[in-house]
Amino acid sequence: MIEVFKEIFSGFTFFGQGDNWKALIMYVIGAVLIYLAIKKEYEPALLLPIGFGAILVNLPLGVVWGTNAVPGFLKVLYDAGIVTELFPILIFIAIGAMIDFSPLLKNPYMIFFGAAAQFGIFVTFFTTLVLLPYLGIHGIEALKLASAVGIIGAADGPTTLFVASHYKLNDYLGPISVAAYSYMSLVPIIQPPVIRLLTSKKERMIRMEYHESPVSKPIKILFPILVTIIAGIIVPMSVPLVGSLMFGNLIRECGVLERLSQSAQNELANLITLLLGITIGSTMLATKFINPVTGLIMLLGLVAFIFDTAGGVLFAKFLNLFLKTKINPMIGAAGISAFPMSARVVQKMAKKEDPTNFILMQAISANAAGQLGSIVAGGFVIALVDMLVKQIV
Amino acid sequence: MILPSMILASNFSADSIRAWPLWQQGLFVVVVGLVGVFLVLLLFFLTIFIMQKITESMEKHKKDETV
Repeated sequence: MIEVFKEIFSGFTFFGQGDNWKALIMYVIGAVLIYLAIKKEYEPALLLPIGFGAILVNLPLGVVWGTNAVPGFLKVLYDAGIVTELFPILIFIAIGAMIDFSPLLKNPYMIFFGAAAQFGIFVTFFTTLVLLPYLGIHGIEALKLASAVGIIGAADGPTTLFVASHYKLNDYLGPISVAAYSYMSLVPIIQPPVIRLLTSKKERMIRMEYHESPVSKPIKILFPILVTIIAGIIVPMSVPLVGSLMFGNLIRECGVLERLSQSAQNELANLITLLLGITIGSTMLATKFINPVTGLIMLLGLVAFIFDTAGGVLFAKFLNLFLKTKINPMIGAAGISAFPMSARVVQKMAKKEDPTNFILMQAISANAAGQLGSIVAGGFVIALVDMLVKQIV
Repeated sequence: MILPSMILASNFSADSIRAWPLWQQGLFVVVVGLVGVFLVLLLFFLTIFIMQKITESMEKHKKDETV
């Protein structure tokens, strides 16, 4: 009789077996993510599903995940959307449909800030590569994990996921995604101190002229097509990302697919965000999540963000050494991919120093360039690391 | 200094890079990756610049024709 009850109510005995007590910690982590989403409104569309997914997957018996033979609904979503790299790609179509590249097309020189602000990706890639052997991760595994950790700095969740999925980093997908999305939501907290540290008040007060001129429709249509072709020829590995982003943008700009553009911006974005969040949460299995590597990923993700911001600001300061008309170096910080959050942070800081200073449009240009820079950087990291890891294949 | 000297010393094939110690492979990714991102975005810049110039000259041509 007792055996029958034990079998029926196995959930009660679950926590006493082996490492299963760690599931309780995951409930707390899940609850914290849900709290941050609801109370602090930090990326609620993602942190809430991630938090709930983390709780779901750690419930006794793991029914929602299931087994390879009998997969649960979260494993079905994971196999369909993350293993195939489909969810990040679909999200990029939605993002492409949301982004207006006009400010960048009006100020094309701002595109270089989108490159400079990828500095943190590569610095963190290298730092991670040096540190991972101390945690017992060597060789190819270290190269693959360092790639995904570095990309966190781009403030670009889908690209981070894409790189992590590309390298089948299933055990680390949870911490990598949580780091990427939570730091993205913390841009208003992370960036200002770094910017203040690297700039003087005088520099932060620099005004920048903005010439309002319309961008012709042919340019808006040709831009996504040409960018895709150029990226496809030079960095073929970036095509899934660049191509989907630019496909979304072409739908937006062509002027004859308004209904599809709206669907991509709303229904597609909402649906994929919903499924993506809970699927990422389902990767946070206690036995895989609670280990020193998770701590290192979270820490280095933050380092990547800081160095990306610093890279952009220092690049602007470097340019100012040669320019007659100075650039407000804060613009450089907007070269990350967190669109349009980073541009807003920069404008807010400029306004704080001088209430009449308006650099939002330049910051938005750099921010749009950051979108391009991060996916190109992601493509380069994949291409180069793929080349290096061939040694054991 | 290490990376350029290694590049000069080796025949710089993919196989030779794979034989480098891990941290030097990392350094290779950093240098090539950063330069690559700048180059690709430079091409994007040139694309926008050329498109703008073409559009401007076409508009100017149109204006001249109407005048």
